[in-house]
Amino acid sequence: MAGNKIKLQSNDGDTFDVDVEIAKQSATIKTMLEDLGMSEEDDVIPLPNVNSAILKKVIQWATHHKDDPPPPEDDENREKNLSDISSWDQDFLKVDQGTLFELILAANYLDIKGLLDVTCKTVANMIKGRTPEEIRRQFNIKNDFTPQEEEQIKKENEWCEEK
Amino acid sequence: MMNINLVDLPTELFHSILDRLDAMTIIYALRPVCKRTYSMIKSYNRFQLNFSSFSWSDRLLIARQIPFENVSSIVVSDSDIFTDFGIYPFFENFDIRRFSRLKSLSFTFSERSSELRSQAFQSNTLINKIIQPPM
Repeated sequence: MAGNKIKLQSNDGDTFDVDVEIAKQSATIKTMLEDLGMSEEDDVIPLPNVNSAILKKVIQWATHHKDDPPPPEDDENREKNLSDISSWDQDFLKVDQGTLFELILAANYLDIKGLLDVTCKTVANMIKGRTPEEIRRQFNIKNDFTPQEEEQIKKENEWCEEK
Repeated sequence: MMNINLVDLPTELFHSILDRLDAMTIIYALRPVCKRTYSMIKSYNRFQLNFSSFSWSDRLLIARQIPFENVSSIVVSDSDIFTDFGIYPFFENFDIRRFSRLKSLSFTFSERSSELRSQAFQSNTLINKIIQPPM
């Protein structure tokens, strides 16, 4: 039997028909459907924090991952292994940085643990092994410390570098 | 549409990225980047420390770069407790009560060279010391 569909509406007015089971990977949408008793048939779920380009990406991700086992509950065993990103996810996340950070915001708002995890890992990978100056260049961040403050931070760090 | 940047993320989400990074990267590479990373890292309290001969996490504590109460997990491996000169200095005065927000403390016991394994009894002594700090 074909699954039920719901309509998701982005903040710029586009609506997307999505399988209920796919949409429910978002704990936020799941709660809306189950606890608030929204009917699946006609209602449109508005998502005021997500634009259509990002919503399209999120649906694409959720569709690919629809048969994944549910993520473990406890946040304690945070997976530190940054290299275990599936090749599908790696390709999926070959996007500009703006899109990547928008995806993090959307994954957080929609409460999709798997997507939040893989996007955060991707950003962590862009940071790891780089110097402060390389990180500034990578993310286009301006160094806004005064020379005095910079000297101070340098001193703090030297303190623990020397044996 | 405005492009958002790493430092435009809400602190909570920036901290989710820090959850995937080691303490050394956070303190040495990311904190000096700009004022915003510096201040967001100041409020981070889920540091995970690995005591190993290769990373000097303990110095971050000794140098007060990370307050004890901002550490949420510690991983110690037996091979790192002992050095050629005896117990790794940090553990000599180790008092777990200083880590008031610690959620997890793990010991990993690996296959050791026989020379150091003969010191296993010391390892037990050390664990007792960590679990039951002197009052």
